[in-house]
Amino acid sequence: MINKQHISLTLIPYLRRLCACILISLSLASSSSIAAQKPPLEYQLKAAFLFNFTRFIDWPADAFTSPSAPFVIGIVGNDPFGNYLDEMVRGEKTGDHPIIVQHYRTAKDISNCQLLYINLQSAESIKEALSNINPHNVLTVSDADKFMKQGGDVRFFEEDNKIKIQINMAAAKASGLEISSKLLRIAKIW
Amino acid sequence: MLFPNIPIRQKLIRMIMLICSIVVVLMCCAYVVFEIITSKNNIKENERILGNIIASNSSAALAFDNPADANEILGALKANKHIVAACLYDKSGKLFARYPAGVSNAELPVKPKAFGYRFENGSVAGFQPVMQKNELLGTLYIQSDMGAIYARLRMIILTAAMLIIATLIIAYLLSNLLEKTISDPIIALEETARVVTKEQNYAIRAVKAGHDEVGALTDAFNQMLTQIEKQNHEIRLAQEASASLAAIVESSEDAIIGQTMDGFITSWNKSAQRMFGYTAEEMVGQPVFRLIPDNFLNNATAMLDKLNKGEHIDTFETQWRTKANLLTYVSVSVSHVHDADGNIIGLSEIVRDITEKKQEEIRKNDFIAIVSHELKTPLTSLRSYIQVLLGIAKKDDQNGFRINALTRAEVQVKKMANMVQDFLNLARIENGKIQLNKEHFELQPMMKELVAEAQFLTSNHNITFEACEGIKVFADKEKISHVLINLLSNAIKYSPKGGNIKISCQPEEDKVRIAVSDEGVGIHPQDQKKLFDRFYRVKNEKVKTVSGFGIGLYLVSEIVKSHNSKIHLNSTEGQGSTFYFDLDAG
Repeated sequence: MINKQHISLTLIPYLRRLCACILISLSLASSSSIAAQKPPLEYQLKAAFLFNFTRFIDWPADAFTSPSAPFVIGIVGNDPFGNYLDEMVRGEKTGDHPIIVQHYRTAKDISNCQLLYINLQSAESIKEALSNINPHNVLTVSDADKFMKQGGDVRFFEEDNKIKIQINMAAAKASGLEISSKLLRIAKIW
Repeated sequence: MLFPNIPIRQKLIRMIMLICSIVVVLMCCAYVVFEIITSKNNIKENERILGNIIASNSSAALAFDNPADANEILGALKANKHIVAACLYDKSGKLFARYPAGVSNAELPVKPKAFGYRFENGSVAGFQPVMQKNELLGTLYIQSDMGAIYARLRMIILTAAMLIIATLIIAYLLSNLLEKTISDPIIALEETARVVTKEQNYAIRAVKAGHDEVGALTDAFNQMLTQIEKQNHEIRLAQEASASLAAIVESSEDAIIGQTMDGFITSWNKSAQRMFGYTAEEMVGQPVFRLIPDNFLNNATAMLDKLNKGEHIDTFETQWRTKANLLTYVSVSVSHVHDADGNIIGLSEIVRDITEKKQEEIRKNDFIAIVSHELKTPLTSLRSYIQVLLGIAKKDDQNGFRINALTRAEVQVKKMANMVQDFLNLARIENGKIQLNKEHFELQPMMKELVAEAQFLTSNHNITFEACEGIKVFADKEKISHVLINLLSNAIKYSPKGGNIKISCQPEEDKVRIAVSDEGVGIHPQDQKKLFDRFYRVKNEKVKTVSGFGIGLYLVSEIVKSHNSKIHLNSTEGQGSTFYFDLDAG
């Protein structure tokens, strides 16, 4: 009987190889093209996760100004994704809403969005960001440790060398968003 | 025809069993095949459904890179023990999760292939896209073995086998019960037929069981028996009739001989054996000519020909030869034997021994001959003396009375001599001893003499002859004179009023016709028929007083017959008669 340990063991060297490949391709890519600059793996995964949230969460109709209004993924704070996320969402839609990415320098700059990635460090700035948005209809995501306590919806954390998700059930519920049970399954619930 | 020699019961049962077996086996085979096909499809469908569910459930795990969760989800496949392996591939086709936990990479496809479920190498496997809101997140692979099918198949085949056996047992029992409705009537009929044949008892009838074909057969069979009974009865009656007739034939005093139209003897009774000495075994199948003496054979053959033409033959008398080679006088009468339709199928001869009668006749004839002969002698000398006296009387020439008296005496003596001669001839003819001395002679001189002699007998008749000059005939002179004397004396006797009596000679080719005609009382047609019979005398008012014995014309007829000719007669009552016959020209 093979257990999870074994899987992790096989996975680690796999990841390492993956990293090596990526680094090599990055260096190759950098010599051939300026635009194709990928963020670190961690943020590639997080970008994928952000995108995938649109698949597993339903936003109500009144979260949008019009039926064909765009779905905005907002990033406040440093933009760790570069063009990666933009490329990922290019041409994608959720329902009828085309997905776009918007960057906000500070909490004050936050405008209408449906998904907000708060890449701020201090608790105050996070708090500020949280209060600047309409809690309804916005899914707040962050890496901050105390994000759950602060009332955020989703937190990325690392465990066993993997990026995992923590979800604040109450906050999510309060924000009126329908989170798929499939997502809830794999997430750690706070 | 299949198995012709097996009893009907067995045939019926075997056929029913054969049909049932074939039908049941075919049905079970069809069902098994049907089951196999549907089971395979079911497995595929089940796997697809399962795949759908698992894929749907594992989308988040793939999206959020959670292999642990994916493995857990795949683990749910444990519920179906026929799933041997499953795995998830991520978007780039790399293995992401697997089931069961210990399955090696070698047992899983390296990378996902086309979507859909297929049968390969004894298992069902397929690839299923993992989608979430139109986003392809990865691929699911599921593989299951065919164990489910095999298990189900085993169960089905077992059930089918038991069903077949049960069905066949029931079929056998039922067929045993029901075949009786067909075979019982047939066997009963066969039984009856056997009893009828064994006991030769045609009064038995078969019992009719129903109104089907066997019933019809029974009816026909019974009808045939009735017919046989009837025919047997008729045969018995015919046999009895035949037996009584045979008894009559056997007991008859006369010999009764049956023969074919060719003259071969078919039956020979006891009297035939007594008469001729041959037994029936010796004579049946032999030609009847064995009994006929050689000198009568030509006649016998001629007679047989006549009979074959359907002509009738009168009873005749002849001589037949016995076994001891003795000649016996017999009277034979032959007649045709007809069948029910009137066709001639044979001849029947009744032969009577007439030896005694013949002997009687011979004695009588001999007696007549002797008497005639005895009478002749004195007459001859009487005649001589009268002629001498007549000669002397004529010389004297004075006593006319003497001449007259003597002449008359001579005539009478002559008359008597003729009568005696007649009797002698009669006796001779009867005895078959008539002898012809044929010679060539001229008619003319004979006619002269005869006419002169006849004239002596009468005075009021004119007797002439004509056209006889130079005509020669070949015949017995004495006998023909006798014939003509008889005819002339008849002519004289039967024309009491006188008249002309004429003899004429008429040559015709190689024959000469001699006719004697008179103008007398004529002969009644009834008498004409019997005129030439022996001892026949005409009963006529006008000629009651005429003398004679009635043998003259009989003799004339016999003599003419012996010259291969026949005496003919033309006569009209009251006008006269003409007798004529032919002789061979000389």
